[in-house]
Amino acid sequence: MNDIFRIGWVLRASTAGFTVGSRILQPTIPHFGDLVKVPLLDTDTNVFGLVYDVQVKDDPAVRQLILTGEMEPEAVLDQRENRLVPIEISVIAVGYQQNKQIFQGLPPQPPLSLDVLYGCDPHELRLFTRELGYFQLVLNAARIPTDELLVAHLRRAAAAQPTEVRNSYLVKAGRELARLLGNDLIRLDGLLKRIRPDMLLA
Amino acid sequence: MTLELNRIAQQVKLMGINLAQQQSYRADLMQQARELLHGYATRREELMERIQLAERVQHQLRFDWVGAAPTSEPINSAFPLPDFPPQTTVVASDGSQIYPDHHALTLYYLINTGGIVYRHGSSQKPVTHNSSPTLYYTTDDLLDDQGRIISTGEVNVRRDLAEIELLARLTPTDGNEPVVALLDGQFTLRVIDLPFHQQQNAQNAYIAQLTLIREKNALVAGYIDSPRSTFVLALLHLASLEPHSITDETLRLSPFRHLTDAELFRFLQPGERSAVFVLRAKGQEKYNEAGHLVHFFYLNVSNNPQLPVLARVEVPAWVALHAPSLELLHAVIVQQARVTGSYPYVLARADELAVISGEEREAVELMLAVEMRRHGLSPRVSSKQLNKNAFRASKEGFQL
Repeated sequence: MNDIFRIGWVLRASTAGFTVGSRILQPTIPHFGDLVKVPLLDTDTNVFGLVYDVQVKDDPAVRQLILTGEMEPEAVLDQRENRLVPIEISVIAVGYQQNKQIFQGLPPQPPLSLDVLYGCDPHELRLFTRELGYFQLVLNAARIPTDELLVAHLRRAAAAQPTEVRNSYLVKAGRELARLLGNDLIRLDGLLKRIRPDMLLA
Repeated sequence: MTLELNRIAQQVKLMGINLAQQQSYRADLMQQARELLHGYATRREELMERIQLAERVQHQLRFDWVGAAPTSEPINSAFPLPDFPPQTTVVASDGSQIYPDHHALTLYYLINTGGIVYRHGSSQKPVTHNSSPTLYYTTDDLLDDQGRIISTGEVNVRRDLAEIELLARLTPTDGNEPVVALLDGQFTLRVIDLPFHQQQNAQNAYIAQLTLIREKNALVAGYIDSPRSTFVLALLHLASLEPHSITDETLRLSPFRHLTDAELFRFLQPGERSAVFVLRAKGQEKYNEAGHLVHFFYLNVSNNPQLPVLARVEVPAWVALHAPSLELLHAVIVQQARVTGSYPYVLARADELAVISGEEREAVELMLAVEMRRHGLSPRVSSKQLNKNAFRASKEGFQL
């Protein structure tokens, strides 16, 4: 597994999602809406999920520096890169891969503590988003900003598509949303406006 | 909870009244002490004569006079904060330990050290160092010649040696910029808890590391936070005595025993240091022979004029008596303390890197238990510890 995509280690998990501890926010990963995966140890299974929350946890030493200290760049680098400043990344599970076949929906088993979370590369993102069955899982999820998450995720998923199919990909995503939100036209209208190709691909 | 708080409530009230009453008494004493400090500011010769007299009196009774001796600086001096150097490297180390405990699963002790190299003005990430923690478990490690478990004081000496070795190792030698090596606590090794025949060896090993740091062209200092020392007050008490009245009895009856040097020097403004003093105490001979005779000064590291934060800084003679070195050290310690607000950043980080938490200690014990079982042994804490654990745990539910 390519270490440049390694984000962190699983702290706690359920089949519906998991929380990952990370030492540092890297410049490129993770982003809200990113597709990520956890390979389950000793199996041929990857659990896929979307990052829906990134929290920088409280730390008394950081608080002390903010309240009374003078921020030297060396101390800031030390805090960010050397100290184990706890960062928690929350992920909603949206699918899994077994024997190279991708399934959309909840995985049969959650990851275990200390399993490693990786970011997905553009190829994996294209493969996973070929089908859009996981939209329903996201739209029905409780206590997460589902609409914001879908918009952010579709922006990344569209960018990973070949240029000539980006537009049609977003049209397909819009149709899937229309099918799922046919009884909530106000919400559907808000989402469709925000995933219009001229909005997302600008 | 076994402590019946209602039964100490009245005593806490009385204690509060007592503390308030002490304030005016202490203020009067402080006034006297400061008058002596200013009155004897430049009377170095008189002070030195009295110190020698006091030392003679104490030596006759096989004691040592402990206090501060003046240097060429007036003893009431306040030196302003020098400019921060544009680039400096600051190195610090610290240590932590698990003491041997005969109630534990088995007899062992553990020493862990941590260190950091911080380059001011580099915009580089500091380099941190976690040394390999060392587990001591052989009979030679644990028992003295009479078969007794070694004392916590002996473990402390081994930890302090590990700290200074790490500090010397981390001190860079590239020589492109000034280097300051900081220790948490006093600058000399406390060997009094060691058997006599081991004291010399331990001191020699410690002094060799100080010399190594000096050979690397680095400055070295011990930083004592919230000092309770009274070395300068001992000097002022001596100044208050007529030479003919200096006796063992008058030396012991210091009117300033309720005060500390840190309170005396609260007049220092943010960033200012006091005069440098020489520490006169037992056990300085070897340091003196190696050129490391202990000097010290007080330093207000605070940035807030309303809230002085006094520290005592111990330095060897070759730092104390070289003005550019002393100035650099003064500036760098304040610069470090300003990162956190009141305490050198590198010392806080070295402590964090070295400290062994309660959870980590439990994890070590668990690893030991597993390993002992693997070898057919039956790990078991003592009955006393077993019952302590059980009874303390069962009370958790009744805590307020």
